[in-house]
Amino acid sequence: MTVFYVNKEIGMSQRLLSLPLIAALAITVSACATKKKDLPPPPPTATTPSTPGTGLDSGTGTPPVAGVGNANIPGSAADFAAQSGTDTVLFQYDSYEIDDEARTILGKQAEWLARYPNVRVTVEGHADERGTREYNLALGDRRATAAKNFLAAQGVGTSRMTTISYGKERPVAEGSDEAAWALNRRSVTVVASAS
Amino acid sequence: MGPGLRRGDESSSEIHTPHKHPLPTLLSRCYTPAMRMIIASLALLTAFPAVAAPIRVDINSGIAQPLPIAVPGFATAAAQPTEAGTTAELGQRVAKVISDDLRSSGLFRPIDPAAFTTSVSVPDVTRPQFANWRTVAAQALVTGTVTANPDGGITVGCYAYDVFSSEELARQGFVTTAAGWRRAAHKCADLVYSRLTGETGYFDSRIVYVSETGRKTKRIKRLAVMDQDGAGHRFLTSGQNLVLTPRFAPNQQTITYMSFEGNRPRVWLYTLGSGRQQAIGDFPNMSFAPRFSPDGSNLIFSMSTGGNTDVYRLDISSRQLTRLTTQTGIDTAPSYSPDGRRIVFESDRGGSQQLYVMNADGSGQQRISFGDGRAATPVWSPRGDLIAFTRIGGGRFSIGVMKPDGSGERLLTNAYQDEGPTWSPNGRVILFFRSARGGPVDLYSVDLSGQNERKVPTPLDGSDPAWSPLLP
Amino acid sequence: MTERRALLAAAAAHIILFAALSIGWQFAPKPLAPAEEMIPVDFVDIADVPRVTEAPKPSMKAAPQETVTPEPAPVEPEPTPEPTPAPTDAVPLPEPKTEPKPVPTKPAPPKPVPPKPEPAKKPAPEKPRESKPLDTSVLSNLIDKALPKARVKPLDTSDLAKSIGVAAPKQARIDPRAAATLAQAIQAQVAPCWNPPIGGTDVRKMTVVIRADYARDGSVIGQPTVVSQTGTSTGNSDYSRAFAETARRAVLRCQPLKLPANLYDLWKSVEINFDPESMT
Repeated sequence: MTVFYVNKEIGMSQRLLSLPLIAALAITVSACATKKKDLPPPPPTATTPSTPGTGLDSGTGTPPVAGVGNANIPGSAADFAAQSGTDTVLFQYDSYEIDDEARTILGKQAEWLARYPNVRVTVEGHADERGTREYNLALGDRRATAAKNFLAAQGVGTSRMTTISYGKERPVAEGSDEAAWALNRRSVTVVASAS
Repeated sequence: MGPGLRRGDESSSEIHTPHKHPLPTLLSRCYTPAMRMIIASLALLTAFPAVAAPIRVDINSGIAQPLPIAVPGFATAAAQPTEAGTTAELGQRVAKVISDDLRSSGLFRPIDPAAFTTSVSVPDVTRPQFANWRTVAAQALVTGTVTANPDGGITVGCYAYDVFSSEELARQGFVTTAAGWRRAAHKCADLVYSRLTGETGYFDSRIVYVSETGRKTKRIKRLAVMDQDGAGHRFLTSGQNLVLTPRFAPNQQTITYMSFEGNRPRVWLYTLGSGRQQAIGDFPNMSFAPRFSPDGSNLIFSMSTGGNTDVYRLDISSRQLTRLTTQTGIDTAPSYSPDGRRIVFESDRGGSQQLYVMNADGSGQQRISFGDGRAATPVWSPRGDLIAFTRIGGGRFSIGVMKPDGSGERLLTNAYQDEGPTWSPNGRVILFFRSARGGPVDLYSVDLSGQNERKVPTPLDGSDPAWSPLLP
Repeated sequence: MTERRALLAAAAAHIILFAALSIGWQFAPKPLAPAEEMIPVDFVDIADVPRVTEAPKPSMKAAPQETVTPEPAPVEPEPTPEPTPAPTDAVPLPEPKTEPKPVPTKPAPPKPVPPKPEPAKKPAPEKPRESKPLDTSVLSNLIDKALPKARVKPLDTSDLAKSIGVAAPKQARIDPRAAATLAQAIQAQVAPCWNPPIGGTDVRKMTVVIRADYARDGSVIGQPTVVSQTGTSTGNSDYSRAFAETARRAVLRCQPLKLPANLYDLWKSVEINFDPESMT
């Protein structure tokens, strides 16, 4: 099965380039690549965000761990955590409802983000281990989206935010009890980059 | 008593011949009072016209138990060297693999070779001494030969016999490389299994799964494949990226899975042989829970958009993406029926995770699971007659099966957390993964009766198993 | 013109983007050593393979798939016709046996022989020889396991014989109820040996009638045959064959039957209907 997978998200080009042409290009490019007949070096991946702001931005690849700076540089991840109190919001079992406590936390996060309008964030959604794998991925997406939507309602531009769900794959607490599960049902606002 | 008694005595002298076989001895001792009653009542009968036709006997139940089978070491005319050992050594190993395969099915009970009265020479392979095998209570016999070929390969001859009817049931030769002796053994086991059960085998197949290691908070997950019996284990990915839910294509050469590569969780393809990995699309949102259509032309998977998750179908060659579900909620874990005409999936549209079936074009969506708790991760049996799924309720996660209309639900396991079933190619065995509370995560198998639950050994922890189709 | 230029620009941009993505796909994940190609296994007809090394025997069948009919008296390790010592079953069983006494009376020793002379009947001759050579304690253990939970208990044939004897003196004809009871006795003796392949897709509909001919000593003469079968379809021929074979195997395993000799005419030919209805 040698199929070349054509990027579906090329956007407006779909109007301009016929599918066969894309396929032909794909084959050409791939063939060249494998034959190492160098094309002009592609622009560094950092420039790809030029694609429409659909959340395709791939420059946000910092690991989902809040950095701990020695000094809290204003606008940094550490500064964010310090100023907002926490980067994490918790949820009830199988719920993605933003409760009062979560509102307070997200409100502070939104304030901070208002102060640093160039900072981009990734909102992670997580679930506890007491659910099936696929469902928990979707549930994590719900939680991340709920937190993101709340931030957006507080004035944070959606183009600054992306979401990602880790389902039950990245707990913070290792236990298999209600206390651990409660900590793992969460969304985490991760400062991805400041520019 | 009168003359009748005398006659009875005479007849009994005819009947009670020396015991040629222990069975009757055994049986003759197990008389019940009820039977005595019947017999006594016979004494009151008077003579009637003779019954012309042969006596007709009805037997409505037997005993479900593994079939005792003998698998002596495969014979070789002369021990010849091969890359994988001498043919004599291979003969022993082939028999062991066959024996282990058959035992693992729960349908056969290979007899301990220590009980065998003879070894098998080449002539015995085609002319077994059935009497010898009966004495060890074997009901079936598998014999064979291993021969080195001039090109360095081997030929494994595989023969199956019915010991009590002294009849040959099947024979087949397999030519392969010396290193391929395990596959030849699995093929032989499949031949025996299918001939004796009337169903296709499943031993010459593979499992792809996620190998897990490390702390829960920093779990390293890698794709790995191994033979159905755990041999030939190898990792496919390095563990750098989180990978989940690998599933075989019908051609067994491609695996679709989900990877977090580049922090962009989406569906990928892995090609065995070349090791090539490709994302299947650049969809803006998370795509996950992929599976192939039975003909391999389509993928179905979930995609989440703004907190709403739906099932999509992607035509692999045309790249056409079709949304199959539109309701609000989480629609995920889709799985095709073997005829490709329907899809079962889970949805929480009704409030909690339940199973739904729809036509392959998304029409006719209908809930099929009811009852207590939730139902998740449905997988359609390759036989088409059942759907395996995860039943969640009462703080337990169990593997169950139900018919495609939702009837006949049965739970096959009961544990703290069993999840993610996958079917053997013949639809008789289910593989799944079990998480112990605070403990390891392992692969397990269980057969359709709920019996024969076994841990499938893996080098590290294991999850998300998927069984390949039978290899060609 | 501008439109055209835009188009070209767009095309160029996409070529570059595409190149980037393609290359990205190629390099992004570091694959481990690729999984080896599957080792091929080819199927061959092995009709002749073992024969090559084998001293030609008259009994060898050339045709590959043919039933191998064991010749009546191949080199059998156990020559002694002496009556098998009743297996020393380790199985403790409630009923003290009363049977053995008749043994000495006449035809006991010749019994094993009768089937032999008939060369047409294939496997029958095998049966009488079998139980000798082995360690019977091991054997009985095995068999004990093999018969874990016989639902139906066999008859005490001595009683049976007596009672039927009373009812059916020499020339008498047989009451159908006697036949029914005889049927029950056969059922009780054969059912524990039936290991039906339950779990098969079509097992619910499947039944098979096996006809078996018995010698006076209760042993099966020749091969039991399939009289009729239900539940078969084009899709399940393998399964239905396997199903019928389990029934035949039951008949062959649980023999000789212990039935009253004076009613031999009644049970010399029996049809047994195997129906797993109460097991599925």
